Amino acid sequence: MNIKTKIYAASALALAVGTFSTSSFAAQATSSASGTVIQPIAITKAADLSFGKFAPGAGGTVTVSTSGARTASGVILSSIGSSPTAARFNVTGDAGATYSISISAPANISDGATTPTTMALSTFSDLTGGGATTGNVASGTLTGGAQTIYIGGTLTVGATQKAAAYTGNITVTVEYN
Amino acid sequence: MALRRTNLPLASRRSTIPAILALACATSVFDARAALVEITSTQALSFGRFVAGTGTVVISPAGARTTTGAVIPLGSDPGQAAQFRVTGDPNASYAITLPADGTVQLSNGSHSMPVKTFTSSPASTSVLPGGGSEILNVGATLEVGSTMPAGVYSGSFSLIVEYN
Repeated sequence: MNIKTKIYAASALALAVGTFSTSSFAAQATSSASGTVIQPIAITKAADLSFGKFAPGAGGTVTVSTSGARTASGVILSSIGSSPTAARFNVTGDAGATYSISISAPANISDGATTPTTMALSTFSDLTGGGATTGNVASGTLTGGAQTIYIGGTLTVGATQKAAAYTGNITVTVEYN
Repeated sequence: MALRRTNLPLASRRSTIPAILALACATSVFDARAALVEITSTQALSFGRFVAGTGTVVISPAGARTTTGAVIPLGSDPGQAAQFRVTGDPNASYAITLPADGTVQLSNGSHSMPVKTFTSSPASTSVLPGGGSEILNVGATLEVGSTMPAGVYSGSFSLIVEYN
């Protein structure tokens, strides 16, 4: 009985030694971690760029500003059955995010015939629809998660321009940056 | 009066031994370290803002962010590395234990993304400078899924430092 008691006493002491010596040599800290997934950027067309109806007159130009206002030089404008509009593209995505804008417009619009007849086209754009007739936007900011891109253009009309409906496609690409 | 030999009772014998050993313990601890090693979190880990897609977001210990696969990073919030302050004995060597893969994730409701491949600078061991304090930078890799809905994902992780 004496021997057993001594052994227990010795064991208890050994354990106490082990615990006492290691607790002061290590430390731990916790940090938070986070990440924010945002919605992808998206673009939809809300309106086409339309120059409406006009007669060649002496030949010249027809311009539709970013507000949709149409003016002409040398060309005779017709207001019957004609509703000129600037193109409008609606962009949506992460509120406050900035993005790049790339506008690809054809050099001319075509009547689509087998031997096509064309009219030269130049385009310009802004983010306000404020009536600009020159310049291009290359970037924007999604204030409130949305923004609209307005595109106007100028057509060059020949004095003997063939009567037809002329069409073309404008492509707008947007990308978070 | 006759002399009587008396054996010390067992209890008495036992009590002398613990006293000697306890003294040995106390002496060894006080000789080895004058200060506890301590660590506190000073900057949280953030992967910033990004569009989800199958791929990863990597934050280096220096705080530089890169993405792989279909993940699109947003410049408006490029994230940051975590930082900790380690203090202790000047010139003391210590080891760093980072979380193992599979133990940390960022969650948003029922959706979660694993955080793995923790890296740090210093890497696995360091020596405290003469001032007894240094910054430990930590980065990691976030595995992103293409179906993760938009929102803030959060979580936490722990580090252990130990004199060695």
